[in-house]
Amino acid sequence: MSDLYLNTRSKANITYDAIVIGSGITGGWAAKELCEKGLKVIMMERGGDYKHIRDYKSPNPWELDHRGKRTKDEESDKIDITGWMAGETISKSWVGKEEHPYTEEKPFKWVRTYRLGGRSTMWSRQCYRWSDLDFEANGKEGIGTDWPIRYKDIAPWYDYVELFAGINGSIENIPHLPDGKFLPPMELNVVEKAVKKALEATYSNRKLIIGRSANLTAPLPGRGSCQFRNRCWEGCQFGAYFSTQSSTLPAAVKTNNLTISVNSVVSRILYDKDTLKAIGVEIIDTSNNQTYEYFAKIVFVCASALNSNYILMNSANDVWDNGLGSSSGELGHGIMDHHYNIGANGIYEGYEDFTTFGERPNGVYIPRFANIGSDKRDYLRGFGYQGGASRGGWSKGNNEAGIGVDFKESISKPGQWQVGLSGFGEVLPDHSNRVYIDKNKKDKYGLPYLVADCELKENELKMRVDIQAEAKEMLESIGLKNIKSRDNGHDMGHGIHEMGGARMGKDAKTSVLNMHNQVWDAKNVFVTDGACMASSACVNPSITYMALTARAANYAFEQLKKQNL
Amino acid sequence: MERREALKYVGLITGGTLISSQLFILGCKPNHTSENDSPNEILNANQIALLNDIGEIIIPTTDTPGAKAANVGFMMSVNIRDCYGKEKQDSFVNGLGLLNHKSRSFFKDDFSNISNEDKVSLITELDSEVYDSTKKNEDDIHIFYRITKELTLLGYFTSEICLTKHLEYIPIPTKYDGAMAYDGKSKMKIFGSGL
Repeated sequence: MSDLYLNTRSKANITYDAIVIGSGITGGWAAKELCEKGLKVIMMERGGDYKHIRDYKSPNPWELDHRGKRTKDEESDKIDITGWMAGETISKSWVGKEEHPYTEEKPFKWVRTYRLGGRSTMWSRQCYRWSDLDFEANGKEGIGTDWPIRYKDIAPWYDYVELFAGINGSIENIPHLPDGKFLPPMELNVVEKAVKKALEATYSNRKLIIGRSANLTAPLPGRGSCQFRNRCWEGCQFGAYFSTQSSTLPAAVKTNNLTISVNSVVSRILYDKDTLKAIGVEIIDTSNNQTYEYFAKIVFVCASALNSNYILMNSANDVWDNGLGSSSGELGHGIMDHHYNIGANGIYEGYEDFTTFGERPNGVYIPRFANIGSDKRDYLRGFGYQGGASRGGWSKGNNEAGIGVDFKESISKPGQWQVGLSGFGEVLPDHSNRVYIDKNKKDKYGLPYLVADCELKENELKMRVDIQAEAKEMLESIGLKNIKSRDNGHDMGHGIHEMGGARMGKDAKTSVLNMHNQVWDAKNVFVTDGACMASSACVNPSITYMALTARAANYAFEQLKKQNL
Repeated sequence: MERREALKYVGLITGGTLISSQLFILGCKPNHTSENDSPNEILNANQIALLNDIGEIIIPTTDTPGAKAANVGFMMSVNIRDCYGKEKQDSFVNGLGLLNHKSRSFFKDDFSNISNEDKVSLITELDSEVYDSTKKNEDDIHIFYRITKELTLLGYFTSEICLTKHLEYIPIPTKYDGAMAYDGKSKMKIFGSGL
């Protein structure tokens, strides 16, 4: 029986049925699906190991030297992260620009976690299905290119991945936000219920619902229920939220078909121009900077959107200048994100005789209402809001005068109820938003730099004005006090939903992938992470990536069985 | 109390579902600076003691311990050294000195030696200046005080003393109740990370 981890580089262990590049949200799924079908799979992870439970820490707050605050030391500065990402317990989960440089032709915040599990241990777990409103938009509006699939193609795969991953949610019958196969929903608190009632009475076409998140509200085999600590980013010892570590990895490991190769940066896919197929990958082992080759019948590119673009662009350059999948001229173009850092908050007077128990790792959601039905705006597409209500804590003492006994007593009691809404907006696929490779600049592995040349365009900027105005107006309509609205600006990438560059399409002349996520130019190469997206919708994308991956992996296996690959 | 015992206990009290069969480790203590470590290059022992005295005026001992028992002065010295840029550090240290200078001017002694009543009057005056937008409040003494108040609160409310003796800390709530009755006078509970 072979080891799970590839401990030696030798000629004896270089050939597999499938190579999966990446171990994050989609890499884990590809590995699980292919392993469960009986394929021998090697999963390449560029970072180091990160073990479920063993590597997680849940310190008491007094055990943190800085009580959660960000230090100004060199490492933190290199990471260029702000807000919640910079918290003391998780700031080391991100890699920095100094260690992993890239070029920003325009500002681009590229948030990366380079270790086993990738950002599947750091995501915010919100899960919403797409509908045909999203799949049909490009075609109807003449933006980008039409998706080659529709909701009916992906619906059974949403079912499939939701049931395995465990997604909580409420049945709402909203046509453009399809209900899923849900675990019991989490609870709206008293003020959220009151806000919901008031908003839905005022706005007949708007809904406020409990968020849908990948936290277990009922146990699944081998995984425990959410304990309402809201410490997900530190790693959940209960396995209560979906990550590679808690979910897809154990399933893959159980098959005995998986080999994991850590510290393995895939530099290129090896392409045979006679058979028009990939034959494997070249990797750089970061522990010794040596190059190695691995071979397989199929390759799943799940390295996260920009890295997947990068690998394709850096492959088969002897055949295509701009890389494998570049024959349409679209590879690297149409980079998108979700723009946010925009919303409003205010004080809710009332319900002083209620408070909350526990920390819910989920909030409220207001689904998109813009440009739906008779609602027409001066921009295309739309946005949703996340948010919630909570009673203020002791930190309110930072903003008010007061010292001594009365002050101590007053800030030790729950404060006023605060309600906040934060918008997430769709970004249109624009050909000029692109990433490309700068062969003149090499990093420490001898690999060329990625260059990001992306910005929010007119549609997004107009939408942002509306996101802020609508949030403010909604809070005013329910009578909140002391309402503040904000637009803190948005660099592309800051949504941590960077996607596009290798879009699925109907025509090899205008897209990179076909309807099965196969690279048109190499049918045994599948790209199923954010890179494959032809448009972005406004909902958190990971559950869609999972569904596309499971669908593609099952198709890949069927094709292999029929000897079509 | 043994960790598993504590967890079972929490489960019973809160009525939530508690995972008992899973082997889990809630995390080892990360390496952190011992409170017996010597003060640092930004703040010396006297300054740390002074910060504890100031903290105690902001969050005094009542029927529960105050900021001094929580050694907020030490926590602040680590935070000032590691989380603030040179300009803010200089303003802070200067402002701390200015407060002591004020104490000697008005009350003829260092802050740590004057009466509680006099301490309260000095801090009250500073506190009300800092939070009054009509007042001029951008001098070093104001910058220092704003930081001190913020770090006193952070240092106190995340301290072991506070979270074992003053507020109830429940690291593993096991459930979420969005409509828990509140009597208007009880202290808040702290959940999860406590941050």
